[in-house]
Amino acid sequence: MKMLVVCGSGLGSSFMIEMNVKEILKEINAKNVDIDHSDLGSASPDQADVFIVGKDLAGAAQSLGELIVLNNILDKQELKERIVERLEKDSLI
Amino acid sequence: MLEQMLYEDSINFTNVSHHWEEALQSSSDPLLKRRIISQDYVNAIIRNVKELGPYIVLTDGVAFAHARPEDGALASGITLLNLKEGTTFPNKEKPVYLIFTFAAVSDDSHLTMLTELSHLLSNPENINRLKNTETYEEVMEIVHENIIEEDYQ
Repeated sequence: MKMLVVCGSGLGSSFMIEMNVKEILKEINAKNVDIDHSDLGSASPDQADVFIVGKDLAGAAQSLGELIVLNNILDKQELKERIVERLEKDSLI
Repeated sequence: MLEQMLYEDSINFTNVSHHWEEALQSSSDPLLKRRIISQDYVNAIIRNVKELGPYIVLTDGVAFAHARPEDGALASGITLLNLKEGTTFPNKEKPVYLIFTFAAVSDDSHLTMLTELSHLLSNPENINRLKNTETYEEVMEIVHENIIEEDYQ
């Protein structure tokens, strides 16, 4: 599965979230999950299966496809719950 | 890295109430003065918020303002503006008290600093403490403590 974290400029908050996702993936021992980050302007639906965004960009990111929308992008616990939930759905963990 | 990038003139405090656009301009001023960014960069930050929403608000009370390197970043740098009165971004109920404004010349030149900042801000207690600082030294003490913790991990 390919996940892409998206933010407005693609180098600030999306990168912070990506680092946290990487940590979480290691922690829960998830394999076959790719994670990257990008900016909203250059992200396209074919780049990933699931797109991770903060709630302020959820509206603008809607057209990308399946979204994981975060209430608080610095909250690792929320991020972990949402990632685990999504990976369990596809039996990836 | 964060510690080395925060100069004394990069950290400012204000008791004057600011409209969010003025607050972003004001927090960018030290970077403009040092020629780390051009005014185009500040305009891009403001335009992005208008077009995309207040996505630069990282968590309650804290904004991380930045644009793309090609929007007018001439070097790498970061500032902190502590707004004692807070400022309200469009479509946000809770005011922002701390604005970190940041510029980088390439996508990966700033990763260490971002890691440190994200670590610092992921603890709500640190945000509270930063809000209540009055001097450069007080801010740097909090930054320093958190970088030491990171090193021990």
